[in-house]
Amino acid sequence: MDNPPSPDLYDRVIAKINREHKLLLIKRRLFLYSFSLVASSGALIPLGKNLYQDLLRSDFLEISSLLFTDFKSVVANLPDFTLSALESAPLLSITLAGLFLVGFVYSSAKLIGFFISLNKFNKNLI
Amino acid sequence: MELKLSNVKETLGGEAKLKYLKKPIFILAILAVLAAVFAGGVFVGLEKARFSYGWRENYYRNFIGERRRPMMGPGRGDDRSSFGMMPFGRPPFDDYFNAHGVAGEIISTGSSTASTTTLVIKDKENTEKNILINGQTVIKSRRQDLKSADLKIGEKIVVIGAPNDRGQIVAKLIRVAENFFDDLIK
Repeated sequence: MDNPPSPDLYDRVIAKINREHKLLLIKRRLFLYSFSLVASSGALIPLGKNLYQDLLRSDFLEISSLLFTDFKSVVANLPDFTLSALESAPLLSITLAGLFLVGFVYSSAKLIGFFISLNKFNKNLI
Repeated sequence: MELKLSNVKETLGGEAKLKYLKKPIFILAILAVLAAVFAGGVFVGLEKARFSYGWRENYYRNFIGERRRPMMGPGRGDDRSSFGMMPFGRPPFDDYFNAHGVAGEIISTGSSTASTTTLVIKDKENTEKNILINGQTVIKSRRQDLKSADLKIGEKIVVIGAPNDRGQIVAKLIRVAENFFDDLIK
């Protein structure tokens, strides 16, 4: 009447627990990076518009265009050119747009990595 | 090269200890970069503040003339109303201006001495700036070199220079700009 348990039952149970734990971690990270991707892409649109407006409002484009039209003169007056470019650049807009762009690229790269690992994980199960 | 690396590793206490030093070295490098950026920001801010102070202190001398005194009477707005009506409006007292470069439209030309010419330009924020042209100033339009007398009222220019203590920009390079960026805005 007694059905003794199979000798590898313990190993199978532990393996199943580990797999489920890994799957849970992957799902949580997928959710986190998906949310981060949506948030960063949503923020990039108004920040990009803001950056465009700030660049047009400032003298940065005109001053940086001198690099292409008067390169030798710019190099001869490099300290003044550098300071004028720094003074006119809309640094806050550039920094914010840059940060969210980095966040967008990082989240995309992480998501792609997780989809690949999820695919491999499912294949292992099968 | 290999010998030197192994000497460094030995000095630092072996490869195991080197792994522990990587994080603190990385953090120190980040802090050094942040400190450099902060110092750069302070320097740029001080230059702007110094120039803006000189611009305001010398406003009447630069744009109205030394002999003319401000007229008494109602002006635009608040506590500065005793300055009276000004040709170019009340100077903005709460702005900091770029000290080493400006892009704008020439609204006035004149000469202060035999060797220098002054221009007054109106920038994108409708603020007047005094540009000093001397013998070292390079003036260009397309591929041609120009003289200061060739600059006309209404022309749009981009100026790179250094500020003096009179709130003027001593121009080193002036490029007569095409209307490229105006077309972008439209």
